[in-house]
Amino acid sequence: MTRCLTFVTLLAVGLAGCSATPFSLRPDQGKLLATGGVSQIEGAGGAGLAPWAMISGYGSNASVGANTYYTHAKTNDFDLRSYGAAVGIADRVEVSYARQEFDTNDTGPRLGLRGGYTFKQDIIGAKVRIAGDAVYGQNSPLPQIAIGAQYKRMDRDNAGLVKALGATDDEGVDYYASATKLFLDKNLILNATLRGTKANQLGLLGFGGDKNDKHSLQFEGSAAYMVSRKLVVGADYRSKPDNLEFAEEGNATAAYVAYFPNKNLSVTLAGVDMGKIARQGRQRGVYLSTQVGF
Amino acid sequence: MRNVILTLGTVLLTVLPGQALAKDDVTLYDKLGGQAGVEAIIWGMLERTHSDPRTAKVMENSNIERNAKFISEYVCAKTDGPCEYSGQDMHVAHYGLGITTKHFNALVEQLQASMRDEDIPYSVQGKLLARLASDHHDIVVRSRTGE
Repeated sequence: MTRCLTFVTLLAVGLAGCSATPFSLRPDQGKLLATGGVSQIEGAGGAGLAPWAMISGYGSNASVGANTYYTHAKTNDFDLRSYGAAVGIADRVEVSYARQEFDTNDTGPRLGLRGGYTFKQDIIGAKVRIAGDAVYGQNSPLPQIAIGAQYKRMDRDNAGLVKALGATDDEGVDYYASATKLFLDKNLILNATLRGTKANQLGLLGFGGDKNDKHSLQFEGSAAYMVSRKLVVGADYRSKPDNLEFAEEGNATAAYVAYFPNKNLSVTLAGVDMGKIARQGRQRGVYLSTQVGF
Repeated sequence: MRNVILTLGTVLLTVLPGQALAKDDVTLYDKLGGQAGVEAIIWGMLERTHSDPRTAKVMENSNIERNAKFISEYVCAKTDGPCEYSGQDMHVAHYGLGITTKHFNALVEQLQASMRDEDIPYSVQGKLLARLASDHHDIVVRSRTGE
């Protein structure tokens, strides 16, 4: 119930803050190319790993935007598939849904699982821009700031296993605040996100654990350079909690190239290091994400 | 962590050379091609503004030659060129025209397209946009609320 309230409050605060500009549900693609970011791994608008304060899609403050994405990350031992959709309303509120599937492949049996055992979860996200303008606030030191929440719930058939591994819960809520600033004169975008979370490996190994069962504060940072209007290179860093006795959890990094041929498509290719996962050592690999929308 | 530092380092090294240029006496105005360059950029932008369905309506009752003269002068002054802007205050000039962020973003795209036509490097394009970005407040926000 409190979770539900969190989301409703976020949305209400956001929509109440909408300006007096006449609003239309007709998509206007009224934002500048790439300023909606791409879909981060949990479905929110941002970079690969971190949510940004930008609102997903190309709807201006008088319209709506939306997109869908599919991301596949392949590391030494695992595959992570993520897909979902996000809607941006009045460049103020973002609502997103993501599905994540973490495939243990041949590593399953080493963990006492059947081969190809897959951890799955659904993520419902909400984000509200509360201050600043990342693009037009060039003379102001204030970045664009947004707050958000991500409600995550594992599939029922994974719940027993993650609890056996030491997790306390099979669902949880992450809360975050993101500050993003575009330095137009340097074509540079910087983002910092603080996240309060109990999620083990994004939530794919449950929430809380025998080592720590409280929300902990984590940092996510992004730096991106716009090589051209259509091409962005950048890097993300994301710290993660370490709640489980059975396996140490490490922090994640990614370095990416994102290509925006137009306002309907973006493709992101990244090298990722997801840190240590489930006693299988550091998981390095590649990440390919495609986003389609308006 | 080492990877992050390396990548951030690479990103910064790509960005920093732009800083060194700021030390010499070449103004942004010069980089845009001086008077001829700025006039060509603004003319190219306005041709688009007047024909693009997203913005044509707003421009219906305005004179393209007059706009070109004043906006070129404005950009010249904003980019450290040898001009003094003699036109109306941005807020006053746009008051009541009903210009929205969507219109303003379309104008930015028209300006970018015109700069590409004039072969202005992307790094220089960003510098001009940065100097003009705060006009969004006068042209869209204040001119609508009349504050």
